[in-house]
Amino acid sequence: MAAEINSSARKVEYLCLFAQEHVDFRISNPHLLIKLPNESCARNLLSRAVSIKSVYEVWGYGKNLTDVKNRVFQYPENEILLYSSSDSTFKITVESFNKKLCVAEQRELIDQFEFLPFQGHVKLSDPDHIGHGQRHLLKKYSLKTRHFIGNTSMDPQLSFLMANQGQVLPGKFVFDPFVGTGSILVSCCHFGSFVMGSDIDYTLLHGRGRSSHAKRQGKWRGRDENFQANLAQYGLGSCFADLLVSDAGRLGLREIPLFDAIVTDPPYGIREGARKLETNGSIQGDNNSHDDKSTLPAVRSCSLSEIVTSLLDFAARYLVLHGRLVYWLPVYRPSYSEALLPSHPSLKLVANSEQCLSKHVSRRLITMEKIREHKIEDPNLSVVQQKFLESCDNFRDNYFNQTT
Amino acid sequence: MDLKLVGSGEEEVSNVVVNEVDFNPEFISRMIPKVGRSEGLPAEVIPDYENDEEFLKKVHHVLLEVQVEEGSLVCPETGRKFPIKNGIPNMLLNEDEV
Repeated sequence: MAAEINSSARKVEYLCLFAQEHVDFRISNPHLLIKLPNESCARNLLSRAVSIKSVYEVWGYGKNLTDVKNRVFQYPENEILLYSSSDSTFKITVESFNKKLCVAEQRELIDQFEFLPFQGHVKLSDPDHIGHGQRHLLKKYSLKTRHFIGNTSMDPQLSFLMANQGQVLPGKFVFDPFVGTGSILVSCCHFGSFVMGSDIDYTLLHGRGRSSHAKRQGKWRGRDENFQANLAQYGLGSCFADLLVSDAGRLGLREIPLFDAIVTDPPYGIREGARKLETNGSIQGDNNSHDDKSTLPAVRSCSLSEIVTSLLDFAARYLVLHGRLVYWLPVYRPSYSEALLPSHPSLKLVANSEQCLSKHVSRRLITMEKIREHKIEDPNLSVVQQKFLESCDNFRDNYFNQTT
Repeated sequence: MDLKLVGSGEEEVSNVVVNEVDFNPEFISRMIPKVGRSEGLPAEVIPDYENDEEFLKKVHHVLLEVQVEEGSLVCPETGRKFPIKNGIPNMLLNEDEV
C-alpha cells in the first residue's frame, strides 16, 4: 500500500525533443522538460505528437559530466533496473543543437558514459523502450502520394497540429465548412473522428477540373478523384459522415449544437478565391428548373472579414459547449496585434500560433473554445474591429503590393 | 433559412448504395439526440438506447451505411428540391431564393 502511494505521488521527468519546424507552435526551445506520472502517459503523448521526435526519461543532467554522473547515481536504482537488465537492449545516441559533432567526437562522449549499468546488448535499430512521436505519419500522409489534392491542400504536419488543437478524438464529430479536397479532415479521421465537409466549389467536390499533382499538370482529374477515395487510400473510409455542396454562410443545416470541433482553412482570396452566393445581382435567365444538374448559382467574391465573422457566428451556433473552432487567419504582419483578433462573446481564445509565409505576411492558427450557449435568435455577435478589418480586408492588396 | 429536410419519397431516389462501415456505438449514441426524425430511422427513441446494441446498429446502418448516390432532398414547406449527385447533395440556392 505504502509503495503504491509512493509510486502514484512520484512524477517522472521527461525530456521532449522537438523537430526544428513550425517553432511558434511549441513552447520555447527544441528541448522541453516535462513531468508526467508514468511511462504510459509519455506514450499517450507520443501517440498524438507530430512535432516531437522522441521523449526520454531523464536520469540526470548538468553542465559537465561529473554533474550528470552524480545525478544519475542519485536516481532510484530500481527505476534504472527496469531498462538495464540483461534481457533488455539499448543504444546510446548523441544529439547536439546548433552544432555538429563528428563521429570521433560522438564516440568520445559515448565512451564517457561507461558508468551506466546497462547489462543487455546494444541494438542500434529499434532497441527496447524507445519512445518516438508520430513523425512517420508525415511520410504516410504526404501530399505527393495522395490520390486527390488541390492547390491549397493542407500540409499533413499542419493538419495533424490542427486536429490536436481541435482535441479531435475517436467518436467525435468534426466539420470543415471550407473542405476543398478534405486534407484537414483526413488527419481528423486518422485520430478516429467522424467527419463532414462542405464547400461552395461544386467541381472540386465532384473531382472535376484539372489535376494539382505536379507530374500530371494540366491533365484532367480522374473520375475517381474525390475525398472518399482519399479516405479509402488510408483505410479510413469508416470515418466518413457526409459532404455537401453549400455556401458556408448558408448551410441549410438544422441549427443545433451538432459538432464537437470545427477545423478549417478559409479561403483568403490569394490562391483560392473567397466566394459566396450572389444575393442582389441581376437575375439572369430562367432559374426555375431547380433540379437541373447544370444550374449553378452565381457566386461573388467576398471579403475576408465577412468570411471570418460568419465563421465565428457559425461556430457559436453549431459547436457543442466546450467544442473548439480551429482556423487559419492570414495577417499582414506590420499591422498585426493580438488585441485586434476577431472575437465573439460565446468563444474564448485558447491558442494563437504563427506560420510565417514571407517577411510581411503570415497566417495564424487560431484556436477558440465555445464557453456559453448561443441563442438561436441572437444576431451575429462576431466582432471584427475596424482596424483589423482594414488590415484584414487589405490583406490581398498588401500581399500583392509588397514593396520590400 | 430554417429549412427542414426530409428523406425524399421513393420516386426521388434513383440510386442507393450500402457500404459496410465499422460500428462505433459511442458516436451513434452521441448522434441520436441530434438527428431529426426521418424515414428509415426507428420511429421512436427507446429509453436507455446507449446500451441497446441492436437499436444502435439500426441507426448506424441508416446514418452511415446507406448512401443515396442519385436523388434529391425535398423541403416539406416549399417543395424545393436539392439534387444529390455522386452522393453529394447540392444545397446551393439560386440568387432569387437567398
